[in-house]
Amino acid sequence: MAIAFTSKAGIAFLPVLLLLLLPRIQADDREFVQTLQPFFKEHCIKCHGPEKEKGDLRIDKLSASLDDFESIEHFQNILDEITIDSMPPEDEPRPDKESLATIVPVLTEHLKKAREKHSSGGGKPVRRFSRTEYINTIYDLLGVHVTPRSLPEDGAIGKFDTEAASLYTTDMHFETALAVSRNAVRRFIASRSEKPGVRQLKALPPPGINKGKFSIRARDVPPAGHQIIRLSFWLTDPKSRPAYFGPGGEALYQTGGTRDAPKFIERKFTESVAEGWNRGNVSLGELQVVNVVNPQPYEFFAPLLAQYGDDVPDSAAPHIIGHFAKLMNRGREVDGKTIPGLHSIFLLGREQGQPFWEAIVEPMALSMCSLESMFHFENRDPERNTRYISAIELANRLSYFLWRSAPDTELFKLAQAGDIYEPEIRNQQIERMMNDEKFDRFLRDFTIQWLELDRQDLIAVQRHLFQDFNDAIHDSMKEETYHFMSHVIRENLPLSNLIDSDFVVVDDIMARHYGLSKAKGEGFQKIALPEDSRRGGLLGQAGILMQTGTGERTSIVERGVFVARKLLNAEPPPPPPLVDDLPTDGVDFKRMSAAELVSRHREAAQCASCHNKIDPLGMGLEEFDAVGLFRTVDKRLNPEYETMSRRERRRAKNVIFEVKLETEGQVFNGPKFKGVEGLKKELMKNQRRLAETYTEALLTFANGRKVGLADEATVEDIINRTSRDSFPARAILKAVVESKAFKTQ
Amino acid sequence: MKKISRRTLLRSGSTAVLLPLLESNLLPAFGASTAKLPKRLVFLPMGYGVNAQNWFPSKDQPGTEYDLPPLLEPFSDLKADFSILQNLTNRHRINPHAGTTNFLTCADMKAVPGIFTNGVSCDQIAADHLGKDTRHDSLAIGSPSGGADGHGGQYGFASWAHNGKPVGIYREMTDLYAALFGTGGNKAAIEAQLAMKKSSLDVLMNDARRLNHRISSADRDRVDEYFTSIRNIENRLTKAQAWVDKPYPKAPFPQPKDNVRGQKEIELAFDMMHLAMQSDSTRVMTYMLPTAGILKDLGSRLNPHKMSHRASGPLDPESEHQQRDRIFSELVAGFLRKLKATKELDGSSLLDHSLVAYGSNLRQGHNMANGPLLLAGHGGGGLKQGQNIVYEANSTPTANLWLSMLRHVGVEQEQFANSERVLSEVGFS
Repeated sequence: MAIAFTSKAGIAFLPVLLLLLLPRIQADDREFVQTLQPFFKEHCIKCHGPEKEKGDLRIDKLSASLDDFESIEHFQNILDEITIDSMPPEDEPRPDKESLATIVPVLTEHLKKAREKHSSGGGKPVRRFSRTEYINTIYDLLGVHVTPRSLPEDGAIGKFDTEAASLYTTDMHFETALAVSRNAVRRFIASRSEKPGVRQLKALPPPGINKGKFSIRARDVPPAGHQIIRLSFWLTDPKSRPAYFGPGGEALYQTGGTRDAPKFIERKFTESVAEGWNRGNVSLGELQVVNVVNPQPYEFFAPLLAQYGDDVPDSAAPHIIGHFAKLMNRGREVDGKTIPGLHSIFLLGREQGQPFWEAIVEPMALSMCSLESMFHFENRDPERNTRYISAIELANRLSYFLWRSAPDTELFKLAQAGDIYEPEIRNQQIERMMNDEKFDRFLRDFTIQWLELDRQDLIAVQRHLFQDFNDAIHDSMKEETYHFMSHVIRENLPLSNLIDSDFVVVDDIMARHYGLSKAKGEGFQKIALPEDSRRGGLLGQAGILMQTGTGERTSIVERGVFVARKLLNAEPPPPPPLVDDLPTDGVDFKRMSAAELVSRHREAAQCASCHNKIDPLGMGLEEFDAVGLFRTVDKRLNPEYETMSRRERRRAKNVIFEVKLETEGQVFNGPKFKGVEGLKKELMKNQRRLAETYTEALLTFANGRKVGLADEATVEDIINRTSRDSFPARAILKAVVESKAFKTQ
Repeated sequence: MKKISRRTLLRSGSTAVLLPLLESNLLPAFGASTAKLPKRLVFLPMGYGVNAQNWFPSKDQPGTEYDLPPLLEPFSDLKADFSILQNLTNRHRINPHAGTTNFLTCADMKAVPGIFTNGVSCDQIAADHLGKDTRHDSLAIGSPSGGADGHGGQYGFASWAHNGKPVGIYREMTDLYAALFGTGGNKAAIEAQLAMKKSSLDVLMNDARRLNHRISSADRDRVDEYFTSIRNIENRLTKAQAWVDKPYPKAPFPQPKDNVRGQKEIELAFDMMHLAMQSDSTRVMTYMLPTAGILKDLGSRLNPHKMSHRASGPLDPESEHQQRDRIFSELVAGFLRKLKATKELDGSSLLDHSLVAYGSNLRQGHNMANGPLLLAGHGGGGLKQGQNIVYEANSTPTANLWLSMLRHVGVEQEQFANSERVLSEVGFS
């Protein structure tokens, strides 16, 4: 798919050259290898073999197997490169027409066979629930909050947390899941007779201030639900400048307000704890306390308690356990032997002297840690005669994709009735799910993971260079991109908005950072950009511009890679092993312009082949600094700054010097352009590539595996069907859900 | 510079006074009087690196005659008991944010592109060898702040099993306390608990086995990890069963609160590690030192990552990084002092029979070559401690140290990860 770069990373199994030595190799493979080998030896092996390993490709390690997707992708890339004559490189002898005519059909045929063999769409691998899915499921089914910290984290920046390859399971995963489950069940049971709803508790007097600090204490937080404490405050001295304050010394909230018009903060507590705050420059008013009790436990236990009161007889235990196990199995039938097994644990507990409501905890918790509950289990019985998954499995796939959690009762019912496979009903359900607030989880997680926004957490901004920068801006940046993507997807806007838009979605903090005037109102809002603004699209967003730099300097390379990967569907291969980064430490390098520095890539042939494509993309964003503001020169810190003590740094003057800025770039072989406007204009010509990237990202997130050759037809089909309407974001998402791959094993 | 807390001084200073009482309480459960004194290994990854200018001794003073730099001052009375090993480098560099992830494995994390890969860590190999006769094969200890302390984010684990997957760690001091001193109850109560746990696992295992024929071969490996996890836990229960008759050591202080953080949390962990060694509850421990809590103690608004970006510079009492480096030195030195003050039955000290490796993959800021490494203890003899050893820069594998330590405690292994040789300069062979 990506032809701009030589290849994606690959694993090799049976080396092509070695294959010839193996006696039991299939005749087809032998012919394939014998035809290709002379060509590879003459034109490729010098740079893609044991001596050099350019672009992470070793032709001698490719396998002829139709099941080795990595090799097949390499063959696809080789074919692409040969077809557009970008390989072998210009300064190498060209292959003659005859040999091309021999190998091209052989490669084409091989790829076709591979595609046919795997045309089911690849399906969705069975894998463990990610932490996020497990927590969401417990919340939606039991009404109980689980702190993320109590389970091991999944995923990594640059990957989706649904990717099966990274979702391994260890003792730790099992033991923490069991501990979390026990705790959740206890809270579920503890809320059994609490009427659901929102209850205003007595207002508390203003917290006492001690040495500039105060604490907010949440008491009697409902076990299944949460407590909201609303804090009112105002500037003690109305003339003082607004500052930032928050729990644990974090700069989370801006101070402000007056005694007559105080400001408010709402803190949500899921456990009875106290949190310490720095006072900032504010006075505090009384605290409003609200308890929110979730309905799940009440609804689960109501019939039982109506029958017995709280004195439930042991004979009811199998019923409770069975009912609960079925809930945790998310609609799949519970095996007939499961309940007696779990019941035996209840009996053991009773034998050991535990009271009823304690003895019932363990079997309930265990049912949350069964293979079927901890995994996205689907029946792969070879006896099944269809590749289509069952109705209940489809309901699960839908809800875990669009809600990141378990199906609700309505979905369960439709699945049980078998109606979920009716196109019209399914369409209604998908629309309903996308209009539900749980769809926010999808929007947030997809946006953060696809655009790798968590990189922003790793950036430490150089405050001497960026004196107006603060934690509140840092936090708002990620929110801006999330709200922007939410808007584009929810409103079904064309994907071209990601390249350029005539609006931004910002809060006060971002509006001020950008020097825009903000519409009235709280939170993030869409505001129209002036005609001549260069802020529109993802590339004008401060978070994206910051996360691709160091917090001190911009990185042309990182920005170029971002544009290539996220907007142009071109995955640059990783740098060859043991190559050092560009030097930035020496005095000479410190004074070099960024463009001059990256031009050094062109000096080494092994760098040039990729960087000639990457760097000119990043050049177009040079007019933004490392925190995403416009600049006309590149400001740097004197090298001496590094060796100064804090005191010296505070006193130091003239530690900043200016370096010339260059912004001329190029999108692959397109015309040269200048600045971000030029870059966007070129990217607009490549909207199809953007649509491919977005579609592939959705497919990866949905199916929990990398998009491969087998998905090519799916992607192409979706692109073709949506191109007439300029690739509307929500329509593409729906097309992914409707694709065959989403519904088959 | 922040002074060491009075409590720490009291604790470390008064160890000797407490000892008679402790020794009577904490005598090894069995075997120690007749068998050779056991060797013990402790690993202390620190996450982010140090302020190099004031942590590393001068390269021009190799050998025993060297000046301790300011950030190592708290170790001055222990100078004959440790060596500074300069320029050890984990040559399988990943990105600096992966911190401790392959510090003790030295594995090539990029061996399989696109798939997370790690190797077995040296402490787990040591646990196989040294863990048979103790209640716990090994203890892996961390803190709730976990990976954010520069240990590698979501992969922020130091201890990795043979399958390259992380080993479970004690994050809360209350859990570590329970592991060491038990949760109370008589033998019958403990056995009832074990029986309950075992039956529970049986139920899940039987349940999962019934699904076997519905699992495709492509998914088999991932599903098998579920079975393996349960089996591992069962094995630990079996071992616990075998230990039911042997009483836990008596705890010399009450169960700590769950929310102890910062310097107090580390002091507590070291106290318990010391007791674990004294009572021979385990012979292998790894503790990922937490930084976040210390920064909070200091009233700093920096998180550990941001702190690490401000690592360089001359000696500066206001620098958060240097204050952290100094506090770590004080705490680790306090731990060593305790080991030194605790006598084995033959009159030698715990430190005489232990090896404590304290260090990081990262040197300073995000620089991944030539990390800090302090190796303390005499490991049962035969070593030449008290040196400032300067190895060849950028190329001496950290794995050499892990191989040396493993061999020293009797693991017959010629190679560990990408090791090249044992560190004979310290006396290893």
